Amino acid sequence: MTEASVVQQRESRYLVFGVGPELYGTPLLGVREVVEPQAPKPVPNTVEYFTGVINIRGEIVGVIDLRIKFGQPVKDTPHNALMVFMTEVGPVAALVDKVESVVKLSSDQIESAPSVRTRVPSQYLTGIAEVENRLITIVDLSKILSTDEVAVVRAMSR
Amino acid sequence: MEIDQELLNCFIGEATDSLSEWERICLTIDDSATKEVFDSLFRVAHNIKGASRAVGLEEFGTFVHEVEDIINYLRRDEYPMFPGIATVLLESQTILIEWLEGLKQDPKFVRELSAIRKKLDLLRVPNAGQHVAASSSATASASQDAAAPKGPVDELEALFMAAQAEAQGSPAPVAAALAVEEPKVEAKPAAAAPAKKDTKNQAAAARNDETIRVAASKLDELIQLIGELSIHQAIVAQGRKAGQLQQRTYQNAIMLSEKITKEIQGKALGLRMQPLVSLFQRIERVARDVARAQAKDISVVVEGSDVELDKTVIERITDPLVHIIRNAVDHGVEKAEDRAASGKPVPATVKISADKDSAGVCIKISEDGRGLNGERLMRKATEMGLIRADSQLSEDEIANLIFLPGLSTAEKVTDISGRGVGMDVVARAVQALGGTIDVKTAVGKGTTFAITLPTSLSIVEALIVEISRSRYAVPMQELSEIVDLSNFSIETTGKRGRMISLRGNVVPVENLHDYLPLRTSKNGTGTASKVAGAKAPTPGLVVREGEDVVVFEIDSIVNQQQVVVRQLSDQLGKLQGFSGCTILGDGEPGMIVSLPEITRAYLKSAGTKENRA
Repeated sequence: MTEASVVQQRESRYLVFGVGPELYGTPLLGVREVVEPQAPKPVPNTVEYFTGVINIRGEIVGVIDLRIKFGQPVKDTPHNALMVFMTEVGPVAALVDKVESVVKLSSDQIESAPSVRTRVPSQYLTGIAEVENRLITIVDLSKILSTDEVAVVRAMSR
Repeated sequence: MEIDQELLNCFIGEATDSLSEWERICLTIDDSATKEVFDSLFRVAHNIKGASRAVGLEEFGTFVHEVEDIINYLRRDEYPMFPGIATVLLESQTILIEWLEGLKQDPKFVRELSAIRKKLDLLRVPNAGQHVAASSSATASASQDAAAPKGPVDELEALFMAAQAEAQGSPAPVAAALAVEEPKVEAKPAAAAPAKKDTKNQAAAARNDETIRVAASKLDELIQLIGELSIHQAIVAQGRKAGQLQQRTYQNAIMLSEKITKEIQGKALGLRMQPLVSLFQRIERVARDVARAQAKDISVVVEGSDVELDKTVIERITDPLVHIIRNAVDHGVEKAEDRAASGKPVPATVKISADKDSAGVCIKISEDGRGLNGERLMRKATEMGLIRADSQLSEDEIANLIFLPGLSTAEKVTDISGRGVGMDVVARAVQALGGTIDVKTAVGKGTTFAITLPTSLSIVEALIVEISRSRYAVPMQELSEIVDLSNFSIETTGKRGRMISLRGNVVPVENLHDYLPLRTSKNGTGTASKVAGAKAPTPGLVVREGEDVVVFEIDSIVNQQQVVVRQLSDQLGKLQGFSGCTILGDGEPGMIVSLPEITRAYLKSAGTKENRA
């Protein structure tokens, strides 16, 4: 067996979460914690998917609504979970509909160049995996969140 | 040898401290070159050498060893002292600092040493000055020296002069590599944004491996307090279990915990406070370096270096102060012969001082040089269209023009200062820290820069206000007063919106709500509450930004309290109009509004509106 194939066989764990009807997976190691959702405090002059800031044990964390971000229709159902990521730009929380499970996937289980159209910009898309007959979009959420621009520039100049 | 990253970080921290001590000692050499001075310098160098070898930095240790040799000769009085020695020792210190900087990025970093080695090798001749007669058995170079006993020293001095001139032309490679960001800033004189970004980057970099030295006694006090707190905590927990929290014992325990918590908060914040001594040392060094390079004669007076400031404030104010002192010596101080000709004392005095008062810490840098050229400043500002030609400005106002982007009074650009960037960046850096900067000057008598800084960035006295049903904190120091707008008649004019007459001055009134729009308030919920209580007072926050005064209308004032400032994450840091975030009394996060920033945004838009009209 060559070294490359050994690397390919290596398994990583992914946290599976739901946004609207879709299932996503993100590397488990990138998730700092999952907390009970709390009502974010809105911050002026920010983009629509930035719903505000919350207080996690004395730390102020910005919240991004993944439903808006991933273009899902916004229904008035309560969100079920907040996933907190430690990104390059500090902690960021993502509001999702549900956090389902942790799955182990080896890299050859992830179809890296899917012809499926997703709501995720292709540069952040790791691939698509099939787990128990369900398709899971694998993304690196902490990367997506760290590149987000939350400020709306026009607002200050009125 | 494999280098352990953690050990290395520890070494870098320690060595940085030791090198600052090294620098301090070197600065005293010119005044008093006693054996004790060289002894202490030798000890410092020896420690660094030992520590560097312990973490496997062989080349580093070897270089320190070479410098140590020279110090050793000096302390054994084996050759005479001359001004060049201090320079070489300071240069070596700079190189070591750069080396440490390099090591932070790459643990295998090795500083290029050929230039300094050349000088060191010349000095590393044992017994060069005195025991020349016995040198028949010594090396060829030593016997050469023997021919002219005074030779090596003179030769060295000449060499230093030449090397000095050379060094001015070509910055050290590491410095250049580390300063990649700098040219960008310089390319755009008005580029405040990149400069701001730089500080952010630095802050981010600093956050990673930031260490702080704390007196063990301070730490012990803190641990002691935390111990007490946990005892009371246990008592309270017991009371809660027994359902007897109302009992006096438990009430006392609760009260005591409150008291201890406050004390811990104070002590914990105190851990971040550092004396200004190393900062002042560094700028003193810069002043002397610049003076030496330009052959100017100065004496530096340092006062108040025991005043303490928050570590972050010190870090962020260092570069601005370095810039100011460079300018002061480069442009302000005259050459000795010019001073003598105009009857001024030689050497010139450069004073660095710090004072503590209720507003915070005031750092002053002054020199008794030629003063700012007001005429030239006016002319430049007019040429650049920053002011109108017929403006009537007071002397102080003219001096403060220097903080406008793109203004530099140097007739010719020197490589020390004068590219027309800097003073505006300095002013912005100070403002970003919540401080103020002011300059006073008198032609022929000198210039004084005064910077007032808040002692700590961590706790501020703030007004909690409500704007569109959302609560925000406004730092009290940013307000000049609070008025009840319902006592004023608000005039509406087409061009500039609403305004009131405040003690005879016409002052524009802006609704803060317009600057902090919330998506949820589109339905008009924000203003609805106000219509209902039309009789209620309408608070207006009066903000002064330079000569301009603006009143910001808000919905209501909730209370006044001390808030603990939390830095915004990098992601939120880009938001305009906020300086930070805090947790309000009810545990909810609250944004800290930066009124100066909003005022500037208003003034900018008001200015453009006027031009169009």
